[in-house]
Amino acid sequence: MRHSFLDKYSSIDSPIHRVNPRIKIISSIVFLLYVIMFAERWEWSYFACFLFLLVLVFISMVPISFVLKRAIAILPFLLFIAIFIPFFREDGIKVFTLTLVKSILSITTLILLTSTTKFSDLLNGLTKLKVPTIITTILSFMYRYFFVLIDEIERMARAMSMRTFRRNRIKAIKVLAHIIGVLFIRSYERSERVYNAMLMRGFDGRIRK
Amino acid sequence: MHIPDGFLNPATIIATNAISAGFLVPAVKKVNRTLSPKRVPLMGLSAAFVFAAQLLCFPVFGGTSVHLTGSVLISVLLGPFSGLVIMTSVLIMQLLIQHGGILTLGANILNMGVIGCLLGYLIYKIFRSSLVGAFFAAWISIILASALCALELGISGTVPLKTALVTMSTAHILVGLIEGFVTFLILSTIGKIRPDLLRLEKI
Repeated sequence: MRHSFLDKYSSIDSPIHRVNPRIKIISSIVFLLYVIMFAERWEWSYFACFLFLLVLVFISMVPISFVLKRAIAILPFLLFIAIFIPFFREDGIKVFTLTLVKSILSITTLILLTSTTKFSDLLNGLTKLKVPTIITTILSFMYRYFFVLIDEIERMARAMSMRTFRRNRIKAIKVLAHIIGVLFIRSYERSERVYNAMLMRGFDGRIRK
Repeated sequence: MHIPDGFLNPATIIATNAISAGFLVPAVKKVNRTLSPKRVPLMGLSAAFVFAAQLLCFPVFGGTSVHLTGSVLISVLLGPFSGLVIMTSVLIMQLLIQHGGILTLGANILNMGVIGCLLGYLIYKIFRSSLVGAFFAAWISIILASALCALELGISGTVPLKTALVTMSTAHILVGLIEGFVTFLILSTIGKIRPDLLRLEKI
């Protein structure tokens, strides 16, 4: 099955894609720190930030429609939390707008980072930035096996829907819980096979950088 | 319950990141010290498992549905510190798909990792590692996590503190009940098919 994951446009060749992942990660965090902690002092700076990101997106050749689609997909979640702000604060409308602007800027930054950096490069950068190797190793496993497990769930769900006639709510919860339980067992068994394959290739328990 | 960037004020960002780092650093050290080679792929697959399991929606009333958090489940299976490291990885992965935020990572780790894995495991131990204990651990940790989430947002001034605290925790009494029930069912399924997997080394 074909799944597209977060680094969909990461194999484009552009000046932004070629930047060292470490520099991209650090500059994203610095940019976010500025947007969230300091930009409030001068409100026009938010426009400058948007413009800056827009220019970066154009240079990176990632389709702007893709960035917008991703950002808009998150908007309902943001609105759900932010919706109360105008009702309990005197300066509600202003804080509401600021919160949304900050969130959208942060999300666009993240979309830009992940769609201009290959996942393996991103992990490499994180490891060099002293993120514990156990965490980057887990992330690389997740990247590799997440869709394998999703396929596994789909197969189980299909088998279940072919065999069941009608279900009530409690039954549905039980069946889903059963699927998740079996999914853990299959994940465990897969980890044993993966371990054997790794052993064959000389894995000795050490995670190399 | 993922807090996105922009919703917390600087003080809360700094405090939550510091607290989470305070728990995470010893957990990583502990896991690294006791890590057997076989456990490396197991932790990776388990994280992928949590990530995948969180996508399944459980129907509640009407059209609403909730999904599993899985932090108590994974720490009951693999141990509290492994659980915390796995949940942290899951949260990092989720922030990369714009679910959560970079600066709010500490808050999210605190709510969903530290509470669920460490405190949850403690509750599970108090109940003498029984399945009923796992149920209560999952239930209580979800209520606490939602209360903490409301507190962080309230202090930051993005939600009305008192109202949010009351409504969030009340709503999550039910959500937590489902988390507890489902955690219980998943563990008993595993216990029926592969009982040895309930006795993996708990780190």
